[in-house]
Amino acid sequence: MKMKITASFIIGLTALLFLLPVLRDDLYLLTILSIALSYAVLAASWDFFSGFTGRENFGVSAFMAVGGYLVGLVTATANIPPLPAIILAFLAAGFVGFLIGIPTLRLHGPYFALATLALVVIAQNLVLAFARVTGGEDGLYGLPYLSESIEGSYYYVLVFSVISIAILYFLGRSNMGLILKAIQSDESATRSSGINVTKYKLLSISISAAFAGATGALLAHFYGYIGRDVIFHANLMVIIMATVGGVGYVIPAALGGLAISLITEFIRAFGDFKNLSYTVVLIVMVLFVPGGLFSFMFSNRHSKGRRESRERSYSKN
Amino acid sequence: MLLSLLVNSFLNGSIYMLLAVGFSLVFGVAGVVNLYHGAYYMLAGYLAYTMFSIWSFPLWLACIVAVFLVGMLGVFIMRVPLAYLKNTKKESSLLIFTLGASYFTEYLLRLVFGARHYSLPSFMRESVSFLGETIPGARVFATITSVVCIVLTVLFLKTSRAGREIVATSQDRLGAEAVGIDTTRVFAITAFISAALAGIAGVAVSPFLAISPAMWLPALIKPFSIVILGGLGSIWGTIIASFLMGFGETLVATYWTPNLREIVFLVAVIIVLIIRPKGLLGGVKGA
Repeated sequence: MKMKITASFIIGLTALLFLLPVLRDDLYLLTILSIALSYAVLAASWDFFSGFTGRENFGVSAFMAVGGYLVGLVTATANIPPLPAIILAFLAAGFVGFLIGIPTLRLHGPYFALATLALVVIAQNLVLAFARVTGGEDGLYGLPYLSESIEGSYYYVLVFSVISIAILYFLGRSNMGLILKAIQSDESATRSSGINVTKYKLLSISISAAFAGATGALLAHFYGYIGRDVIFHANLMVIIMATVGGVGYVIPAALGGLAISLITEFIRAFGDFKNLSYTVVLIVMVLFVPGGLFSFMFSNRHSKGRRESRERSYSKN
Repeated sequence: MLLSLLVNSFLNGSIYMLLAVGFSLVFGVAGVVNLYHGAYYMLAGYLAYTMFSIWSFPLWLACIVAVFLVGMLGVFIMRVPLAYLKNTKKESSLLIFTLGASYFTEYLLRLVFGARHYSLPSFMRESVSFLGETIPGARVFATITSVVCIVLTVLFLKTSRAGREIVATSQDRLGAEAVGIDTTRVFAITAFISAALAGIAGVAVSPFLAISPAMWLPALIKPFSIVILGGLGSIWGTIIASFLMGFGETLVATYWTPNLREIVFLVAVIIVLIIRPKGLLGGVKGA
């Protein structure tokens, strides 16, 4: 019953988003929604790795940077339309995620998180060190737009987000998602039941990185610009969005991304206080609402059993 | 040339050591990877600046009070939010909390002080000539301070009763509790030492490195890579790795380009992870 309500809510929301340009002729709203939808994909992709395997990836921006600056690079050298560029970014970021996963996934618990945070520092330094390719502090301007019109761009982003979030959601509900959650509960037990744990962890971080990279490329084409502010601002925001939405079910995290991005517009008047209030929201959520705001839509199934098994696996340590 | 390289790497390495030993200590004893560690370093600089420049405290008093306040903040964070989150048994929320708190501090400092860079005057104004090298007094002072602090910390851990309780807790928490050690108090003392050491580093570098709201991130990543390189929970490994890092960075900055020095080091850490996942001295149990 609950799943039915949830499903109709999600389908209704998607339908509303598709009809919106017809219902309201508000280009400002469409621009805001496009950015919000991109962030929803980022939060969903973050959740697909970190929420499922329980390993905090603090380096989303590094993967976004691969996609975003790749667009800058290919646009400067060859005249490639947005769609192939985004697919290229998807593959490249996925490969980078794979390469980075090999050494870093050996690290246990918090050290993985710190290694991914180090990744962001590396990416930031690389962007500055290779300013000839990346534009350094200024970024790169004049990239081709997704579409001539704002409505066109909006539909582009909307279709991209719906497809990406759907893929991540169904992967999360598949056997793969179950295995990733099993790895989170008890990695050695999962390994001893004959599952190639390393393969699934690598696959998961590659998929997550691929979608982050594709979104980086999408945003580069959406703004017609790529720079440090677009990429590295997202690093903390994505973690905040997924935490606020709730992790482990993909769609709550995506809804968190949508909600936080839209709230951003309403508190624009706060100016400098905006960033500060996000961090307060994050701290409050972690301390008092650890499950996130939207997980209740999905969490009725098996939730009791899982909580018990998690408690059991922790009490062993 | 080689001499200047060695002197400079020793100067940098000693500051890294101050940051890394505290970071490693809290992990070894309380099992907490504290992403707020870099913020102690940053806050101490800002507090000392506020007290010295705005409230016109004498410099020495401003520095001591700043370090003490940061140490107490460390105790508070360990006793209240971290203790609470540790009870919820979700390791990831600890990480997200400490990361969020670091960004909170950064944005708060940006609001109060702006993005400007500040600096403090040094205790030692005159430069020192050492083996034909002229070194600014502030750097000499920072180096001496950090070496003294680390020696005191190691002596404290080895000889005092509280220090030995800390070492015992890091070896076996349940065992320590069984013989009557109050581990809550041990965690508090460890948090104080860790935060105060980071604070001392922040105050010591403020005459020659600017105090800025983004300085917490490098001050977190560097101790982290040092601790990885030196092996988790090994103080001697940490100390050796600090000087290795100082040397590596200075080498890259001198012979190649200063832009890439942090990257080269982080890449080296990743390579070490591949060939020696436990760190250079991992598995060798030190203090």
